[in-house]
Amino acid sequence: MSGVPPQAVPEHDGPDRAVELELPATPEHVRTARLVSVAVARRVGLDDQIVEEVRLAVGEACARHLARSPGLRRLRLELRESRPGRPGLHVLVLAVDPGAADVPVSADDLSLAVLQGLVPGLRVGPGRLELHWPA
Amino acid sequence: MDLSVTSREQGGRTVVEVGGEIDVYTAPVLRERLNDLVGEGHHHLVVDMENVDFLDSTGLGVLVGGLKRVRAHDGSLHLVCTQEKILKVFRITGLTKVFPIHATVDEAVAATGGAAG
Repeated sequence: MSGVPPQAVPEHDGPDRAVELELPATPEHVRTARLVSVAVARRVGLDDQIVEEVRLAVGEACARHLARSPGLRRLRLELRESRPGRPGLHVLVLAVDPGAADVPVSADDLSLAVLQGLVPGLRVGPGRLELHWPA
Repeated sequence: MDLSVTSREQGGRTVVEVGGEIDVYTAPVLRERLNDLVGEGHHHLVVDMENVDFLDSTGLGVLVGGLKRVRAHDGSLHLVCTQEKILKVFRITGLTKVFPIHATVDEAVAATGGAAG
């Protein structure tokens, strides 16, 4: 490691420490998204109980995109600290090129109920779910 | 596969022990197993969720589907779960009103009218 000058190491508290991830829109990779979300949630200092809710909610968000956008090829995940230095997390879960309009949801929308129950700040748009845990 | 499903008889009831993660990937396995059990004539199910680490709406949908199937045969589907994180998913979806949830398998078997374990 002696050949690496110290200034080549990225600033620990750089302006944008967002974690961005794109992955195949397949059921087996929903777990990948969950694992990454847990790692980031821990990294920003959320309590264990909230970390667990982030895990459940991100998994649910990905599953919702898969269910509502048949033929979807890619999922995009963006996770960032809501305010640097304070434990809060903002997660964007996007269906990349979802194509046709969302499949209509049934009256008993379990998926939405799960998200609403877990996420204090939830915004639902076509192919786009915003999940916010305030600091 | 990050899901395990085993079943056994206890007190005249069928106890289905589920472990691991029930999500959009693994839920089809659980659905198939429940369908098979009902098809084989097991109409009183106790699903033990104590070793379940993750549950999403796909998994909830499978359990609701299982409940509908056993009910079509005048059967029952009770759950065993004490884990707060899993119970929360049932609570926020209102499904605690749909599924009887017990603290132990023995309690669930007794509640469905089965013989004490």
